[in-house]
Amino acid sequence: MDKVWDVIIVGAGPAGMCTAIQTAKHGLSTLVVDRQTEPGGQIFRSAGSSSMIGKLGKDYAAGLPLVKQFLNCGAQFEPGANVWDIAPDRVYYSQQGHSHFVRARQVVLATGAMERPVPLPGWTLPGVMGSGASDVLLKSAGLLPEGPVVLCGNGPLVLQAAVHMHEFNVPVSAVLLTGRMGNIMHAMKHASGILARPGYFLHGVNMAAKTMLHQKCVLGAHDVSISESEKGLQVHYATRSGKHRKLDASTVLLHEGVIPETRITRLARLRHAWDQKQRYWHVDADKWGQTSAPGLRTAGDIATVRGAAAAQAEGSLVGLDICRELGQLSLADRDREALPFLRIIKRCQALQPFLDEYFAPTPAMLQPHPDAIVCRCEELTAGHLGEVIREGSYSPNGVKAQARPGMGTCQGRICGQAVAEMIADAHGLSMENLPQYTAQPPLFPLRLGELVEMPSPSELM
Amino acid sequence: MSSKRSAEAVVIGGGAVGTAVACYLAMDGVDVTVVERGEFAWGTSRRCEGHVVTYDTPPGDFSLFCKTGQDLFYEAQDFLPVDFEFTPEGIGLLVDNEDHLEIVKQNFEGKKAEGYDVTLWDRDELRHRERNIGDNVIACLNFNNDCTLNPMRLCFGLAKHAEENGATILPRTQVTKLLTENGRVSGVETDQGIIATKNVILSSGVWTPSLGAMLGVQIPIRPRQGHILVTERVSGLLSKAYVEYGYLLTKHGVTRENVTPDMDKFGVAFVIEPSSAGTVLVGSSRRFAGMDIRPHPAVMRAVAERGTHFFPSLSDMRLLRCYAGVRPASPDELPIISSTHIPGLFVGAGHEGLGISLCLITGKIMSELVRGETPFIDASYMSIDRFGFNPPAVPAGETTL
Repeated sequence: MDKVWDVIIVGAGPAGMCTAIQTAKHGLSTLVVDRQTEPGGQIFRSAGSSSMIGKLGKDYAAGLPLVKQFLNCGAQFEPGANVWDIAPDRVYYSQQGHSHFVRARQVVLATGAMERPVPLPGWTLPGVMGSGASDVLLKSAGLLPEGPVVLCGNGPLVLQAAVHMHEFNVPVSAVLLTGRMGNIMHAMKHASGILARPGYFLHGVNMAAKTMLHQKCVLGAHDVSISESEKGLQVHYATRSGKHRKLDASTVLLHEGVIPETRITRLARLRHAWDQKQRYWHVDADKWGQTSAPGLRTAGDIATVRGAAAAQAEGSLVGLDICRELGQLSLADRDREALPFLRIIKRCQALQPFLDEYFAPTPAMLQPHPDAIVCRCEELTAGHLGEVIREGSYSPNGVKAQARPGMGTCQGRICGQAVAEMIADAHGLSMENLPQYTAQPPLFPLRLGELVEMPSPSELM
Repeated sequence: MSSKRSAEAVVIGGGAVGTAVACYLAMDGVDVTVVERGEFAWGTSRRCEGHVVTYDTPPGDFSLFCKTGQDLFYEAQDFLPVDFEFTPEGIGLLVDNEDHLEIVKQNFEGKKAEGYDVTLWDRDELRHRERNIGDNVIACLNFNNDCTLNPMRLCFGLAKHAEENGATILPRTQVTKLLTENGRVSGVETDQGIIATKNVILSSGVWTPSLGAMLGVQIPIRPRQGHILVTERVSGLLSKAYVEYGYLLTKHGVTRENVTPDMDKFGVAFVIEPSSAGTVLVGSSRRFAGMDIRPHPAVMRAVAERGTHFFPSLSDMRLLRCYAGVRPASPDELPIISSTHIPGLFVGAGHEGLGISLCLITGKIMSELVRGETPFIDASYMSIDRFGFNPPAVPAGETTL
């Protein structure tokens, strides 16, 4: 318990692994904890052991050498560790039913992003899931969704899922694309960014082309809802011209983009900023991952969603700056070693405005239908919450106090953003002025007996 | 908001006390405005358990004061327009050591003489009623009229009721300055404009001292931190709310034996309440830690450990979250319900752990003070004069509207 690590990294995805590779290489004692049993994060889930490694394209295959490099870099890896509280010099986690706290000189949060929860009627029915969740099942267990599948949403992951369904012969009833038709016009203003990452762009175009070629696509779908039927599920939607249509499905995969998972950064009481284009809150950190709390850094998609390539470069930069701060690298050496990573980030940044516009969330999708359950834990509908908001609640914490959204097991992970969007709309407030739910420890439900059995950290107060 | 607002009285603070003061003023026909920097129940009132209690005072004047304050809730239950989950199931005072049992027995006789509905359960009776109670608990003194409620809904209901009686409610409004003219209160300056008024009531809990300081009035209130753990929904664990006798000792800062060093250091004493939502709230802690309301795992651990001492099966319950708040503590643990030496400036704050219990009686007395009437119950010992920090306050009855 007396050991003080040089660095503790929370999350062994692309960013966390790259931070660890740098700090371990430069001789810093490094501990990496992750909820999963293997390193890889969401994007490289199970890359070290998956039977799918050669079958899901080169993006996923790139995870294998990275995971191998990480496992051999000298950092200690603790799998199956659920972090439930955090401080600039300390991490509390639960592993196999026992809680521990570990101390460090620098803590890095690299817990990544999550799919934006967009409540719509029927989204809590069995058979409806995020397309990201389905992707994880495919990578980790080789499980494919039961067809016929309806894909619905906006973002590159919808296209990727459509391509996978085609390649693995899963029947798809339709791909409902909810993005606005005007997005492409706005995106073209930033077309010069394409030159920075032509390969990445062409990969995207290729996915879009395959989707259009092999699947029935509905552009500008809206008013989507899902109900149960004799055959399984029925998806209702309106077309661009306002015609109402129905589709049968066994599985519905939803996806409305990706947002940073800010619960842990809010738990650490870090300063956040609002991204108006992608409509999400993210931790405010500089390119070295330094947040508003000294000693506490972030790396990767937890700060800004830019994907695996950027996350790896960001993680490496954070690692290098920790080496500088802890005296393992001179400023000049840090800058020299940082050069290739800075170049990657520059290229990613150049293309980002194009992607942000092209996949901009559709405002109508963000205002849930009154029948949609918004808070899944407490089973509260948008209709009910809307009344509470109009009665005189002006912030997510205010609504939470009056009607309990966000008081369940997920602590607002699912409903937080949707509730804020509803308040902003009802009272004409800007999202920037709507602070998110306060996150409280423990981050995950924890057995009280386990808390009692943990050694007391009181001497550190 | 127009800069030409005016009111007969302005209440600063939208917690339990502030909304109650506004509620009674409005009922008594006073044109009142409530200013709250956040939303209702934004500060301590949303970070507490919501008990209306009479158990924690020895027999005497203040005990009767608390009982009178409690009776008002039984009235409010009928007139408030919002269901605030009022649960008059009683609260039990648990005893886990023989020395305390003697004091509790005396307490029982004294409270009975004062007309309280109290019952004393011995070891067997307690086990019969609560099968999950820990082996070391030897008795329980029940205050059968004590109750629990949802403080957020209470504040909302009080504000709503005030509004229905003509009050103006201004959430998201921050006070920047208190204005005086010829030595008496003349208005409140906020970030949304000025409100002209001759009466200002400071009921802002731990934030009251900084408001008093705007006019040079010293209000000795310090934040005293507390933690509460919330479990997942459970059924059959317990039938009503309980508090350990040691809670009274931590309140008075008495060092206890038979607790761990952490429990002593953090002032941990057992409090438990089944909430109407089905979750169970477990407290408590009590320490001076500035305005810090970030829960600390060491305190959480000590609270959980104390909890499992009284209800061992809590061990297997899952903890959903913990929250902390700061109680407004006065030096002698009595609230300040008072006029001040500045005509038109009143203080209703410093209730520490009794803010919910005493909010209605504070509101009722404050309405009388503001209207220049003599309070219906003696509250003279709650005057700010008792600290001797300020010139003598304007006497009750001479504070005409």
